[in-house]
Amino acid sequence: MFRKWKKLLKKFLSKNSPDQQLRELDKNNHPLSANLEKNVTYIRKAFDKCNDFIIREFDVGMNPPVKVALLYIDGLVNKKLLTDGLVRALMYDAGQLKATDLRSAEAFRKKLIAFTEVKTSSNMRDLFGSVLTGEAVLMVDGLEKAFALSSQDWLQRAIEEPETEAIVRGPKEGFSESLQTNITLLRRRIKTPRLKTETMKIGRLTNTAVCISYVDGIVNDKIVEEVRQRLKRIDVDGILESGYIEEYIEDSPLSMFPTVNSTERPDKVAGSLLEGQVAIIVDTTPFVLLVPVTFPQLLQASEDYYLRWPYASFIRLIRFVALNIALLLPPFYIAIVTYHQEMLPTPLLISIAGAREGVPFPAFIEALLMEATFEVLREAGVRLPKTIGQAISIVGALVIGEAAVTAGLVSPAMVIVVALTAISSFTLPSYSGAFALRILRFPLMALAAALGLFGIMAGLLAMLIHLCALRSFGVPYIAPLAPLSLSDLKDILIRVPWWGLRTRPRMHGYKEPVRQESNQKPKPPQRRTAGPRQSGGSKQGAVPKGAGSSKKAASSKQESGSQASLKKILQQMAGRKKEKP
Amino acid sequence: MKNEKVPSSQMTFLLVTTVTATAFLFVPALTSEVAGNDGWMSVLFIATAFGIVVALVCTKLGLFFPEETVIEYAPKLVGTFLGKLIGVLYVFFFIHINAIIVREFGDFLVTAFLPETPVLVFNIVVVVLAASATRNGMEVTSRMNQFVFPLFLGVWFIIMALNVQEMDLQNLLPILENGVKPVLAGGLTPSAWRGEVAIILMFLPFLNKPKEAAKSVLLAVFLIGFFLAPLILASTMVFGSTQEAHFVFPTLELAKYVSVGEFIERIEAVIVIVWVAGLTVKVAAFYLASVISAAQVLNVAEYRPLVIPIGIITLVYSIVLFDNSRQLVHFLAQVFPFYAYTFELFIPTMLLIVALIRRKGGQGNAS
Repeated sequence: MFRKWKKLLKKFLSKNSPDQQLRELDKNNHPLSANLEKNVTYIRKAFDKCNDFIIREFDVGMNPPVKVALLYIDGLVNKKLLTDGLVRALMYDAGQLKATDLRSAEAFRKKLIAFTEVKTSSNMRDLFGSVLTGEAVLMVDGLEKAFALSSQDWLQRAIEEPETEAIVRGPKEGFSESLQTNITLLRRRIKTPRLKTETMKIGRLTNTAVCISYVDGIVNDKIVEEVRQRLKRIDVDGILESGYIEEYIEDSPLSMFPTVNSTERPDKVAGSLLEGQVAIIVDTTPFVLLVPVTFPQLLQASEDYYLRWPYASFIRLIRFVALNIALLLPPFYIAIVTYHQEMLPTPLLISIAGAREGVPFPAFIEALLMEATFEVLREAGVRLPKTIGQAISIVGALVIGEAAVTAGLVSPAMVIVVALTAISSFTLPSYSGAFALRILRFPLMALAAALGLFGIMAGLLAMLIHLCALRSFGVPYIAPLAPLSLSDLKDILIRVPWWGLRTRPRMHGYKEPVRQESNQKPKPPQRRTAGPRQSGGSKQGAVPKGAGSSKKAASSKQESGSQASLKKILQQMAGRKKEKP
Repeated sequence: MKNEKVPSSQMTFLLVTTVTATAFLFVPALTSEVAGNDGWMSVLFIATAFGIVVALVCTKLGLFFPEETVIEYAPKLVGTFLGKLIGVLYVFFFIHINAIIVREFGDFLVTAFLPETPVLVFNIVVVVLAASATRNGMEVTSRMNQFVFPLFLGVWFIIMALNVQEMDLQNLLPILENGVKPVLAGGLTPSAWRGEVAIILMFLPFLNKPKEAAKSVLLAVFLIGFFLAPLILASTMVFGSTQEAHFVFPTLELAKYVSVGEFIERIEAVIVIVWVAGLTVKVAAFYLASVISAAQVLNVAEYRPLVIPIGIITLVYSIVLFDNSRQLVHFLAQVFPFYAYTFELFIPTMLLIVALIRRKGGQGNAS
């Protein structure tokens, strides 16, 4: 009964929707007729009042001349290419062909159209699609097919350094707004036919090209299928940015935590693809989506894999500390100042109490004021024209920071806390991950004000329970930590050397878990005595082949510990001394 | 709900957290009150022995029906009426125990932390947290414990390691002053705690490899002994058994003693909040046991609708059970052991005997 009403309602709504006519046009499967005149009239009607739509009609061949029409959108095609490669060839060279050639689509395609990429379309929908994506379409009188020539060429931003994810070491290329360029950037990094790029169109009006990319054989096929299904479900008039798609496909729309990652860096996407993730590239935006994502991955920057591993691990640890500061420092400050003063060493307590003297607000209100101020400044900094940005930082730093303290509105300690929190929150490589922490800080502050450290713990536990229950495309959100996978911890808090990263993350790269030969740890070459390496030596490492030393090496392997090796070195040195004279 | 599977290592850690979260708090005082200097022996030997028996009985019984909980197989063993009665008793036991734990939690926090705050506040918070964990199921609860357990371990280590200079081995002497009897008597309370691993009666079907159940529960029993015995040793050594017995929470007093270089002092607040995490896991575990058992007694396929009602019952119960915290301690010392033994050992043993005699169940015969 209810369903019936729903259907009726749906029908009623759809009939009245102004979209209806347009949708009819979009769905148009009107076949092309052999009569060029008819086709042109139909198309002209559809592209009525589109001044950027061009139809160029001309004749090809001599006896009798065949009428053709070239259709394109001004600005989306390379006109020089069309003039030189197509129009000129058709007008001048076609005369040499037999008249029958001009009657056959096959001959046209094979002999006349000097373009690398030619598609044929036989209905209006395909034809419109081609024209609107920047292909030039050639229609020939007497043929029921049209040729779509890939002559796309429009103004686009050059490949620039990604602004949101700056790094010191590593490639400086960032994605741009063109899907083709973005796929190229990936292809240049992963040169194998196993890198798949499935494209589909989403958006009734925008017809945005969306590309699912993954490395076949590594990725979990179920995840790819799930991505396909979720993308297919989307039915909306337009997709202008990958953020639209993110909200349609994410697992937990009410969660504070992002279950879809986004990045501007091709190297990051390539790295993720090699670990078995799926990338969703959307035309007209440089932000590429990565699924499935786990929380620890939000703390990983692509630079972590380019720096030497001790440095990278150090940065990871710093980032982890910063994460905790960004989330917990203000709540902790509030809790300690309000409830747990005894935890502070006496001198520190006295100085904080001294600074807080005369501050008219309780610590919570004070923190809330400052945090809110900072969030406002931050938003202003993003929105303002770059030239005024300077002014904002001066206002923020001097007027609000300095003056508020001098006026006795907030304590200097609070300013330090807020500043430290703010700086820490910028260390997170993931923008949306940082957002989650920024927002969650506020409820934690309220809990701290209400119940002290106990309140913070209660809040953290609630977060923990939520995180444990959260999944991203079937993968547990805090995957290598819970459920615990010891081998995957190699890339979480620290990043072990590359030769130690033998396996892919278990959760989404299990199909082909091993990513390299084991035992690739660099070893010093055996001096002098070392012969050429054995071909099968990768298992044994660099075992010297020299006749005399091979026994020694074998025996020293059995003797473990530094003393044995020291002894051996001494022996060798002694031996060399004897040999020299 | 049994689609959720938990590896046996996670189950071990869940059991360890479940038992130690409150045992750390109450056992040292209650044990040394009876056993004096030799409280550590009660914990190390008597309680472990009891724990081993409970673990073996419960897992052996459980393996007769590796896909079912005690509520489901009890009627098959002893007939519908008696079986259902046992089921109802277990539901009551779990809810009651959970209410006691919640009360322990609240009392502990009021004592340790915010003495002016009504105990109800803490109880509400922990029940709400545990309810959300329970709603998310067994998997989430045990995963959550994977974060809590290391923290817990860290706190245990800090308490032990940073009090070394306060420890006085003289406090342990004389050993066995009054013979073995006090050690045995002192073992009653820690044994009841150790016997809480009997919750495996409810959790066994969640194990991804039920065969490993005995191993994982036994490991849990040993780990609990390994963590608990040094703690009671430490508090006896630092305070002496007489003073230790007078404290309600000797472990908390130990935490207050922690002091590093005049800078890190009075960090018991941090230690207490880690305890909060452990206690939440414990409440969640018993909460889970009570909702699952209630759902099975009532023949409800899905236990989630029961989470809120049982939570409210637990909460109210936790408040009305005891008038004050002395009453709670008295209950824990005098009544709780025998009450707990009934459900941890007596009923499972009876069921096991019936099962062995009747040779019922599938996999049990093979093994």
